[in-house]
Amino acid sequence: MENDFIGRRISYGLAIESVRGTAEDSAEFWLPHLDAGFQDKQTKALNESALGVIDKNNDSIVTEEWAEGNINGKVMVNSFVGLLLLALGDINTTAGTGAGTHKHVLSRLNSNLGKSATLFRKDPVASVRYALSVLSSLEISIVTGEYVTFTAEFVGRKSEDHDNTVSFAVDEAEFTSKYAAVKIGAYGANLSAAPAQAFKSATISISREVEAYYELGSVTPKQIHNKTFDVTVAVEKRHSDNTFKDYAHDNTKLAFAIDLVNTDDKIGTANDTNPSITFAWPKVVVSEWELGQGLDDIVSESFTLQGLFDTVSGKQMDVTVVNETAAY
Amino acid sequence: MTTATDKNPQEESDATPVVAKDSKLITAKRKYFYPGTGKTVTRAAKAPAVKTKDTSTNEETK
Repeated sequence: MENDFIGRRISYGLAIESVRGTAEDSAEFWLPHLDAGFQDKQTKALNESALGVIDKNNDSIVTEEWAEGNINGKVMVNSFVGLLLLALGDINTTAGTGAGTHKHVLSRLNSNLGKSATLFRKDPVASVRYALSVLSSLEISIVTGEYVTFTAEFVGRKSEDHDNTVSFAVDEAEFTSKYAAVKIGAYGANLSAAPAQAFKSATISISREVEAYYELGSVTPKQIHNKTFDVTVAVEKRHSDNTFKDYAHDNTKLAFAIDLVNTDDKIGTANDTNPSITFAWPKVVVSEWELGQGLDDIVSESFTLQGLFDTVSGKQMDVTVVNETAAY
Repeated sequence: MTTATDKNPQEESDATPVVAKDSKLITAKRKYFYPGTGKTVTRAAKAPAVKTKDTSTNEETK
């Protein structure tokens, strides 16, 4: 039976694994993706042994089987915390200021066996799940005039058949560039009341340097490790002064934060709280500072804010989310 | 590969918050769209799984 379909009919879900590598039964969140390529992969070895003929290969075997690829979508205030938890590894949840709201502070777990997820996929010809799916990178893109979006890259074990029921939350708060505020201050400064900087775009990149580890006796990964933790933020702005050029040349250490506060949405039982996500870095340095000076363009500058581990606060970054989800 | 049949979700019309299974925390009900049935229902988010100690991690004290 022919059963052709378009990519829009493929659904991906995610559940944080209670025990690393043990598949969860159902998704905590189904992700309304904008683009996705996460799927099974394999490598084969060809048998090239000479058999007295000129034909090069006479057999093949599968040597490695895994799953890999991206899921892209809009940042949504409840489900995105699942991705942040995979990227950072640790979460502390307390009651929010508004009744019925919760405050989640995500921080980097100092482990090479961080949080893993079971990913779920359903389309018209398959219903499967992928255990031990580990986030290899997470990029958050905040660009003027657009939705705030993410690109998540995963490596996981190969799929197994699983009965999935897909359900998308349709009332989650989303964010656009108008809800974003970028703040910079001196190293050690409290940025909560700092004024927003005049930036055009900011792209946060969290790299977890993932590597699948194979052992004798199996073609599937025994373990998938997170190795180093590295965060950068690529920024664009008008070149109105030499402030950031000087920061770069003087090797000045700075505090940096990005606030996403949806001021048009209210959550909590009293509908008195704005859903929000705040990214904070206690210590960054400006690098790769460069001018864009096309003849007919407004002269702009681009640079990277490199996250640095701060020995005083014991962290490189953390993320604070206020939403209505009780626990992750 | 199997193709699952979507289950009919149970409608929960009461919009008051519910207590998550293993927690004293309150979780809000949300609207969910089921592409398998084409229906939108209001229900609690999936209750968080009972978190067991994961001894496979090698977290170090800071």
